[in-house]
Amino acid sequence: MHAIMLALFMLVPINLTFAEPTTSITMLTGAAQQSDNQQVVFRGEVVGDLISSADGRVWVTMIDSGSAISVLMKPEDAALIDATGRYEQTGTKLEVTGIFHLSCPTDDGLSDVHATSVTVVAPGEPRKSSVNMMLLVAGLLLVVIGGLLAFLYHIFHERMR
Amino acid sequence: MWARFYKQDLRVIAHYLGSLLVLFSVAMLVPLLVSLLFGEWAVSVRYVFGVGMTLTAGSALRLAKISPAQMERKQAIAITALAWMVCAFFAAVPLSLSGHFQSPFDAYFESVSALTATGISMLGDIDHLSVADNMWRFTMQFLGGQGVVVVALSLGIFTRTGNSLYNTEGREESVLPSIKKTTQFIWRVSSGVVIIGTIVLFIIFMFSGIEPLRSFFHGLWITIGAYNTGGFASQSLSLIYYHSWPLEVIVMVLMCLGAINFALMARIHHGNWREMLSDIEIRTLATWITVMVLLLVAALMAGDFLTDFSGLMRRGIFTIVSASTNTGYDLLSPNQTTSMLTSGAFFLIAISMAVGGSAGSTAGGIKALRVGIIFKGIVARVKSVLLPPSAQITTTYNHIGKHTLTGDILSSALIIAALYVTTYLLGSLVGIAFGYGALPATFESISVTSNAGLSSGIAVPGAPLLLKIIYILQMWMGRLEFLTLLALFASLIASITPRARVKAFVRRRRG
Repeated sequence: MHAIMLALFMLVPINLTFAEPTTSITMLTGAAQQSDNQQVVFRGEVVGDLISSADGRVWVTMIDSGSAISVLMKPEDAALIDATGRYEQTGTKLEVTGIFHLSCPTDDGLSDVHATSVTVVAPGEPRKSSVNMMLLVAGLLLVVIGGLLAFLYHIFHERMR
Repeated sequence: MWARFYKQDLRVIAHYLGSLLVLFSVAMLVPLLVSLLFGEWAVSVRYVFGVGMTLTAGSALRLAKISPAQMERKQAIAITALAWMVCAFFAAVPLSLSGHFQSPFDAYFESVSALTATGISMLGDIDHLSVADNMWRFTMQFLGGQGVVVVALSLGIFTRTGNSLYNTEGREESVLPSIKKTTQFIWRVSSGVVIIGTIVLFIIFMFSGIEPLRSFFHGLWITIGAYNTGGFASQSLSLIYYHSWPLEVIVMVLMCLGAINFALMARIHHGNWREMLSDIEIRTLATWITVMVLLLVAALMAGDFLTDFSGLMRRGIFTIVSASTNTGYDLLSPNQTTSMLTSGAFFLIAISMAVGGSAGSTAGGIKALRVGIIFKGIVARVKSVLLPPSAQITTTYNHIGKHTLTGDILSSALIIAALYVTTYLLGSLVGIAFGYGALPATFESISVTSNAGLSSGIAVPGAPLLLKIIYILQMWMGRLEFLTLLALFASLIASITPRARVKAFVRRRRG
């Protein structure tokens, strides 16, 4: 019986549920001294570029509700990121568990998080912007009018010479 | 007797503002082309509209006066002063339609901040901003750093204007014999620095793992932001985003270059290297930055933030250089700046911004030249107290040649310095009246007036509208160094005060 239970435990994948976020990026960017060197769990969108660190790890910028923070993570965790946020692209949403530093001693005083584990909450997805046809027509019309007025000025100017 | 504006003056002013706007509409082709290159179709529509609106307005205004004669000084003053606000208005049009601003007024604030090379941003969700919109922000910062009027002069857009326009944009020295040659020299130097800086930063970013195209644009933007001492960034974490000390070193070099007087650069370009060592402005700036760094070290040691050597060197020195050159790039998070720095360190950064860089450069503030002249004036005055009344004291200084320190030069420096300090104080009182702390309000007031752009967190999208209006006025005044703007206001008041009323008033007073 015990052997069967053990085999089931080994074979059935453990369903890892997300840890409940203990904080947010907004709270971390306004954090007080008490939060320094504490373990935090938060979620956010990855934006911009994955920047190589001198020690082989990867710097990632994460944002949430208008706040941003630098996260240092292992390359294998960074590999989970399928897209980074930029124009017309929402980046991968991650849940990060790590140690928050108000002034990191190994990164010359930077306010950052050193990730210990990273989980994907949602993959990146494209954002579509639609072309405003009325604005385009109005713009082209104005360009034509502006051009005509410029031409008119040129004619008057030549006549006055 | 104040100079009044008449209908004829308004037509000339309208004509030249129109010419500037036509030039500005051409500048707007830069982001339009970038948007087409990157397939940002929705963005390109906004810039087509922006180009059309600016071109139409500019062409219409030009028709106000077909062939103006030699420009008068009062007209030059009005054109220079209004150019910034008018160009910012049209620049804001495509930005305000982006959806990244809480209001069209915030987009206008952003444009003023870009053109005056201040660098405080009202953008929301900057990390998702299009490449074209970023290109426009930095194009404006380049044009603004050089001087909108300087750009127009170098392109020969304004003819028959003499020194009028050039001097009214806060530039006192002619770099080369003719104004056109001077402005073209400024343009050439700036373009050269931008090209070299972009290449160097491109290489640094490629090694960091950033994609080639993004490495190019980020290199271009940071170079423009640093050299024009504007301080805009394309990511929400500013320069912290890059985690690159080589980048920070290059940026410090660019910021210092941007804070050097163009006239001095011309002298060095012609082989007069020794001028750099004997120049009062360079000496003042070097001494000032050294003293500020030492004081900052002492102030930080009194607290428990940035007390380690590497952090101090990297973030502390960078912050002082950024503040002293009025660039505004920050390696400290807003939280670190406002709650972890000691109040002494915070105050020192504010004072660094207040003094600023060199006159005739892209930097703002009171200017190192005036500080040096005022110091020499104080020394001369102390000497005169100690020596017999009959003693003749002559004080000289080196600045693009040897000069004697006269009463006029000293009083001119003191007046401008006094205007700066008064504006700093008035602006801080306004911030306090809105409920902000005295130190942050003072910091913010100094930052906007000196066009530095470091922020204590007051100038944000949610700030009161009236406060934003005041800050716009301060940015405008600081960029033009007050006298041009004050002269414009005085002339405007004189123009709308009916002559008959003034004459009647004077007659009554005489009895």
